[in-house]
Amino acid sequence: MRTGRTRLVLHWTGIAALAAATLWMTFDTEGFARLLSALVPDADPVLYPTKPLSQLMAEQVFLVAVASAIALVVGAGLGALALSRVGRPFRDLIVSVGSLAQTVPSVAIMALAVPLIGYGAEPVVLALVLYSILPIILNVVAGIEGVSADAYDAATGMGMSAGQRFLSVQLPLAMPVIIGGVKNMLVINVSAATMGAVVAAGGLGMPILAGFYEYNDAFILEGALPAITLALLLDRLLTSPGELAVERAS
Amino acid sequence: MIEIRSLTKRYDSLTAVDSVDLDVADGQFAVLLGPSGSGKTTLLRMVNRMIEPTSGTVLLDGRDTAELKVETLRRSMGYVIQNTGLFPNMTIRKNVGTVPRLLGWDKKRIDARVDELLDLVGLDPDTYGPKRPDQLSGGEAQRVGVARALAADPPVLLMDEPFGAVDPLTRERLQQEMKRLQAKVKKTILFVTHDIDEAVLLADRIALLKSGVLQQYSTPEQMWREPANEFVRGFFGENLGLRIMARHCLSSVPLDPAPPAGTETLPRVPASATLKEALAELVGSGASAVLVVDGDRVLGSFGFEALVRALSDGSGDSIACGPGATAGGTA
Repeated sequence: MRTGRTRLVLHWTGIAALAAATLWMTFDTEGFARLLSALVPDADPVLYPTKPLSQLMAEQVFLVAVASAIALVVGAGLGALALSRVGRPFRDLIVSVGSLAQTVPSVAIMALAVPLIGYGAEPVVLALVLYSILPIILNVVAGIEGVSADAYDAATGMGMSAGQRFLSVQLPLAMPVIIGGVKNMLVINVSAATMGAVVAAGGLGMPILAGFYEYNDAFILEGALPAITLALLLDRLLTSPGELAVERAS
Repeated sequence: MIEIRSLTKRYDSLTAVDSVDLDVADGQFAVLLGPSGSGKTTLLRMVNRMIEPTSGTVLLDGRDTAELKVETLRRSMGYVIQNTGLFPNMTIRKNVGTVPRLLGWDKKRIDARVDELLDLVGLDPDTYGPKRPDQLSGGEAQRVGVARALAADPPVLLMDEPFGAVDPLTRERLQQEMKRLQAKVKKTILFVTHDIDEAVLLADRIALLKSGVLQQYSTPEQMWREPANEFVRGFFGENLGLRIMARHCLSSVPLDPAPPAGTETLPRVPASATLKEALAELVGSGASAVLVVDGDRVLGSFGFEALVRALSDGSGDSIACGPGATAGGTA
């Protein structure tokens, strides 16, 4: 019991620290500038001048949220299709199309999409969605297929309808695996969305790109540090403390 | 009452169940017995339509089960499987309350029923109710499986090798409990096993199957005395007589009057012991008979003649032996 509580306290302390760090960098412009100039003493200017970090962060979060929401809906839909009676013959096809989508570099997808749908957020969202559908499909399929055959058999034999069986047995049992896929997707998306700067979608990639062209490492850190803490924060938020214990025990 | 009529299941070239006819009367414990691949599980699963038959019918209280809504049919039959199939995401309470929940009972009624059932299978509701299935031993989990199957008080129980995955000691205890439970709840039971001891111990009737064909359907006593064919004789082997003796208790057979007190010192055996245990005592002590006692009270004497008599008339109904039955026969 006591170790359980300690673990819980540590878990939430970590989350609070990451949230505080992310918020501090985003909103305490002067404080963050002092940190950056300490890290990169010869940088001038220290902060990316075009947009304040709060706006860049908002753009980043927007890109990630929109792309993740679409990928979640489409990926879960495709996963459900692959598991349904109608889609079962296409299960392997759906999974391999998902894998194929992930093999195409997202920068290439963005570059190819720009002539078709223009600069801005759209090509980034498209690239992120294509890129992150796979972990969702895979984890939905693996999660549902991993539900013990005995539990499935018992649920059927006790007279649950297919819907009841899905909602009260299959889905809850598959949830940890599905959440794992969502976590994976979010972490990938937070870092991949920085590439949106290439097609003028804004976000934390802007200072990184500018820093690259202007040999200003402070710009690069200004974009990268908040992106790192944001990714870590999302990862921790979707990791249950119990799951950590299992990870360590195994 | 379950009436199975020329029930057949064919898979391509394989006939898993071949035109089986079988009646299970209300309150009867019927065991489907046979080697693996004999079609016993397929037969069981056609009763609740987990498998749809190729041809033939199953009548439940005179109604064709094919005409019932499949969920309704299944909710009227308790279902117990080998690895319990408890839902790992639910507490024991929620597991046991599954079918009542599906039937839309109100919460208070479900709670009361779950308490009652956990008590019935010998698990304290306060201790075990909040636990998760992975916190239980194999035997406890299987008890919960039985409680869950009984939850909505279905007239019929389908049990597919329910005690197959637990250790021998636990299995024996569960079998004895099952017997006592059945004496209390009087369900119509179809029970699949490949364990001859288990079948002979529990069954009112045994349906012996081979390659999907029903070989004989009768009491174990009849199978012993009048096996339908060589397969039946060979399947049970030499030990069937002893196994049948383990089915009956001294308390359920006619005894001889006890000799006047003091004339003879005979070994004492409790009335809850099985005939097999009494026989072991007779042979072991070399006495002509044993005294059957209930505590200090002498009920009568039991010798070889009484044993032969008991086995030759026997109605075939298996009687739940008392709690002392498995603990050894001597007093």
